[in-house]
Amino acid sequence: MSKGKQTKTSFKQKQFLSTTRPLEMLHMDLFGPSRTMSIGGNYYGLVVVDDFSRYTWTLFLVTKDQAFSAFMKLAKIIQNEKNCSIAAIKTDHGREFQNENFEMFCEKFGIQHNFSAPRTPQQNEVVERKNRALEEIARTLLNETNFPKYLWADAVNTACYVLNRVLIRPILKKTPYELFKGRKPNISHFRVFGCKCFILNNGKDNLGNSKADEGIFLGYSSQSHAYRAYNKRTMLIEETVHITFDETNQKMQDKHKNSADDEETRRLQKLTEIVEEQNKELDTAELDTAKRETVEWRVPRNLSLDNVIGQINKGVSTRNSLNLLCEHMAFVSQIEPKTVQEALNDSNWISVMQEELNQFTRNDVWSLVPKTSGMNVIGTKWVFRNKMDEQGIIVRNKARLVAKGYNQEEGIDYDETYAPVARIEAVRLLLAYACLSGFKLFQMDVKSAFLNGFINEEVYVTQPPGFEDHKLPGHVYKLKKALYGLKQAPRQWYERLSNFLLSKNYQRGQVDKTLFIKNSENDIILVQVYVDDIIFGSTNELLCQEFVLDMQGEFEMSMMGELNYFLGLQIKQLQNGTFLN
Amino acid sequence: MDSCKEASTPIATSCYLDADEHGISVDQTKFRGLIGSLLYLTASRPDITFAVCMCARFQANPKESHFNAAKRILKYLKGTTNVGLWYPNEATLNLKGYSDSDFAGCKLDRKSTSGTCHLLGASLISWNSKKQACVSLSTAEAEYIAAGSCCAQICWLKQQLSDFGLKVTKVPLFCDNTSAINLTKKSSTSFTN
Repeated sequence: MSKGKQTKTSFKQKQFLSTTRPLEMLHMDLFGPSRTMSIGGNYYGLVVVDDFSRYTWTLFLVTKDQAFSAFMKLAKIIQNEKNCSIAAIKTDHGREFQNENFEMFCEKFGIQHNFSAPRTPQQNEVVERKNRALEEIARTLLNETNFPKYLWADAVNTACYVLNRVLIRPILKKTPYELFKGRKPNISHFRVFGCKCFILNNGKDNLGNSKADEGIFLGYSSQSHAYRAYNKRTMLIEETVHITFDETNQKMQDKHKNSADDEETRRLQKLTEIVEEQNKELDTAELDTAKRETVEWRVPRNLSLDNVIGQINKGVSTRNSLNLLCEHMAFVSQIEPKTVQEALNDSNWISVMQEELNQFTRNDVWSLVPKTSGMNVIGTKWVFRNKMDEQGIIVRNKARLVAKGYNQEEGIDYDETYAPVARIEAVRLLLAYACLSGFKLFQMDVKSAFLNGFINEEVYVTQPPGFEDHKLPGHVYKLKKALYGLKQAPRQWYERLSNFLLSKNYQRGQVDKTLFIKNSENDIILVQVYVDDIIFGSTNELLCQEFVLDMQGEFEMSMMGELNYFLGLQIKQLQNGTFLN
Repeated sequence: MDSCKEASTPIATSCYLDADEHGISVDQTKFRGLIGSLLYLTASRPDITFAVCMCARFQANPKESHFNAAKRILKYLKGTTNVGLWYPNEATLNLKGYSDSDFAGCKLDRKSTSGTCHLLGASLISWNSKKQACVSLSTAEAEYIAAGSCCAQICWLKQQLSDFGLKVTKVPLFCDNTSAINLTKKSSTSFTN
């Protein structure tokens, strides 16, 4: 015998039945604590498996010490139901099982209490395996439907309910339900967990309300012949039979109609906030990969969502949807170069830079002139930025040629500097006024706004790095229009815009010079400028259309439509008012 | 801060921040960054304006007590992420101004802090919390100064509204100090209480 070579004993699978009737032996184990309280206020699950039939019961507990009372109740019910008594129970050495109460109970009813050997959960494999199956199914259900975690008990319950009716007991080749209850289970009432459903307003409301409320299917009632569903209107979980289901794939639909469900998710989130435990750890530094692989709700202590690569709610992308994505993804670089040299190695960035220069030519920004002494030439540089959408996916590379305006001298290269920014109060006043007068506000922005401003001073800039003219290397560009980075650029842009609007019979505001107004008969159009962002609204939609056409004729615009996001304010224009946050 | 508890108010009622010269210094850049972000947020959150402005006074030499006060605001924000300004459709188009002031709220230089807000119909459009530039000797003086700045803002709003084509004639300015109200009457302003 060698002390250094001993290993754990192997545990072979049993090929025969060790029991002959239901309730001869019950396996029991606890799982939990779950990090999240269930909607019923529970943290633990007690799993009881009948050895013969493998019929399973799950009971939910607030604390471990409730295990005994919960088991006692269950034992009475099932012994009554089967009209035979429990002969033996098998548990591990957890104190919730190995205690005086259990001992007395077992003694009183003549039940044999078997324990698995210490630190050998393998001997308790029946229930341990069941635990795993239940948790895995429940987790999958919650993940798939994106449900808040406090619904875990419902998910476990559903998993247990379904497993009892669909699993086939090896050797006996029958379902646990059939073995335990003696009749074949009916599974025609099974529904997709988390699917949309409509709950009949069963005499709760009178005329005027719709007859059904929308809800989410959450499983099957354990006490009555009914379904459990979350009612979206009353925000309660109900048990009812008057229910119809819509089992079409919810996820695909959701992608198309986000706004309608927004409120719903907010409500659910609110609920989550109330129910969810508040001690999520921020400290994520020492997260190791091993932990990431372990089950999610047992060890989320150090698991922050920031560390999850990719998006959780995006789900699995199929090849088909990937193709759609690839169509424009292929032309977007994922890196943000620091220097021109870096950018010049990437074909995506070169094309973006070329596009920027093309815009210069389109706008007739500059002309090449030979350099003479006494010219104050201002350097240029490239600035590279990746634009992201709301989900943080890079959708566009943006290259901008800027002048090194900090080399400009006041009086020689520029005269005045200011930018047309509106006061935030003015924006809010406009919003409130629009609300009260009952018209909608729209927004649009000007592409490369500053390139539109005419320049009065003589300003020369060097050729853009990486795009020098090989034939005329000594030449510099004389600017006709402003460039980003020049001190006078915002001012010149304002000049250009205000001149244009004034020529179209707009009036400048008396105090707020970024406000432009035009009256025609009884209608009025209000235009508020914030550098290159423009908010506008009118009592007459025709005026709005006219303004859009005017602007598009003069500048390169991107119409952004209804005002929803401005200067970091989220704006929701609803039927009965406007919401800002 | 993710795991912090939510606070129900942005600042404790008994919170008197002073220079706290003997306190432990905190990273100035971090503090300034925090204050900057919070100030940006005051554009849509009038409820934290006073608390943020209070903390912002100590940017030159931030101590732990100031940092804790700033963190309290974050805790408050955590519990109130779903609130915002609501501009309802149905209301009458009238402008109202409210002003108030504390007296010698800043214990360091005994200057008072004025607070003003303006409503168009039922929508809050403008608000302000500012430590006054001069030292007031009485509550009436402090309130009068607050009413003055409130009035200046009303003038601007009136002008802006007239650009919108809306003429407002009488704008009520609400002030809770009788002496200050009488002061405004003496100098014969066009605003009524």
